[in-house]
Amino acid sequence: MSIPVLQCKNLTKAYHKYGTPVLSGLNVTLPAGKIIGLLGPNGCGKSTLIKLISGILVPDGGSIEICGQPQGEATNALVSYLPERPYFDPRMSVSELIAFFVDFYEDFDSTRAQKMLADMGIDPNAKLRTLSKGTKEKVQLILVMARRAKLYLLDEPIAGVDPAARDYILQTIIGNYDPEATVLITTHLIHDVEPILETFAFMGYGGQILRAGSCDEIRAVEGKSIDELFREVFKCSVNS
Amino acid sequence: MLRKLLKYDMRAIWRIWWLLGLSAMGLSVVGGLALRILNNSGEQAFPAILEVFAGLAVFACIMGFVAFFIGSELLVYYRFYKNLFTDEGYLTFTLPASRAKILASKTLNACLWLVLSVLTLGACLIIMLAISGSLADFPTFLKFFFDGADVFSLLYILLLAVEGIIILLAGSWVSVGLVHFCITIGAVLAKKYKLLAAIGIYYLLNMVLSFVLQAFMILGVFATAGAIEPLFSALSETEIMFFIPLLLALIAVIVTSVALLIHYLILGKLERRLNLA
Repeated sequence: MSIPVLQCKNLTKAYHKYGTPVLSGLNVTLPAGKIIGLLGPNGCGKSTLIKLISGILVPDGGSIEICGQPQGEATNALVSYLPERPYFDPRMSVSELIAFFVDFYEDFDSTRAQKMLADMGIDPNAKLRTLSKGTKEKVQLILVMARRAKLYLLDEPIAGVDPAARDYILQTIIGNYDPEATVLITTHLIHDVEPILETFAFMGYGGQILRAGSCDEIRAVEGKSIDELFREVFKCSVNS
Repeated sequence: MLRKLLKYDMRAIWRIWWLLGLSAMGLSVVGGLALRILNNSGEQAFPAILEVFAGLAVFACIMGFVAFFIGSELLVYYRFYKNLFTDEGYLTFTLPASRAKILASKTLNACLWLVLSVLTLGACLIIMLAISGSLADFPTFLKFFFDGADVFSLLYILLLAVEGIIILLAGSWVSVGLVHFCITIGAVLAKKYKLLAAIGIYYLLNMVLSFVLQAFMILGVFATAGAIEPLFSALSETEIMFFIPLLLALIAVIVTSVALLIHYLILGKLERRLNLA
């Protein structure tokens, strides 16, 4: 049996010592070669889970393994993470950022990055502070997707860009990831992302996985889109 | 990895620091010319108003040097804060580098810039004194100092100098570590006003430390009153010559231990308590 790309066991995280945990005993296993949508209402712990996997947050309990290795320095080289906010030094130019990624990530493909920049019409010599919010997000996505990582973590990748750019970004995601790699996407814009998702997982409050499965299967068996199923599941959970 | 981290840390500071350094050098030239005017004031070579301006210029230069030093330090500490505790932390902490290496790079970077700033200030002072003509007797002084010295004395001076440098470097590490520690605690405790919390903690810590140090000094003076002088008079000249390097070595060990302790306290917070929102 092949090693899963991600395995979380009994993962627990609370932001306050005596507060309600955002994640409580979460168990997740992600196989290789899938595009997975992690979907759920606000505050259910999607971003927290992604931050724990990427090493931004420290778990209170449980374990995280990426490609069989405990989360840490070595696994950071296997994970390509796109946060939901701008996180680069605005004084740097796009080409300086590319040089930075080349220096730190052995799997970074600068030719691929240059091509994507050209496709989106972004000047590599432009300083980040001179770019619009949407363009900054595109630059971030390009740098993240230009890596040949084992696990891509994309936190709200299309939230800040115009609808015209969304299609290109989604195509970038499908077109640039290695078939052996796994892409985990969190988003509220389910309808936009649905066409590229292979698998979905609905996360409820407390970080529990309420439902998960193949998108095609849901469409074929239940005759519903993931967007419709999401509305149904979370409507029920609000009323109950 | 540490080398790469340090390269980017140093490059980021250099972007602004070179301007500060160049300004300080420029000021030293102005200060040197002003000092030259003041040095010749007795000979009535210059009008009185020019001498007043020269005095003001020297004062402004000294203030400029202070501003250069504080500015250099602020640059380094601000990068530490911004890189680790703001949104830039999302990049820093997802790099394939352990938190220990990230902290080591930040500490080395801060110490290097501290030393570089001190050296630049030293160079500025030398330029200023050289232009003012106050260094004219310096070669004679050096000749007098080294002419009578034998090999043993030179080695002894070298040993003291090396120990002094070690203490200075370890001292820089402590001072950098203290600021980093306060910024880290501020960021861990406060969710919103992290910088403000860090400044508050720094002042509080400094107050407590200065109180403790003063208490130790006063207690030390009372406890050893009357004991130091007989101790030294009981020692021969040769024994005193051995005692001074030993004392310096002990100070170096203590300062380095304090620096290491602070370093591991920060690392502990970064590894176990740091949660970027």
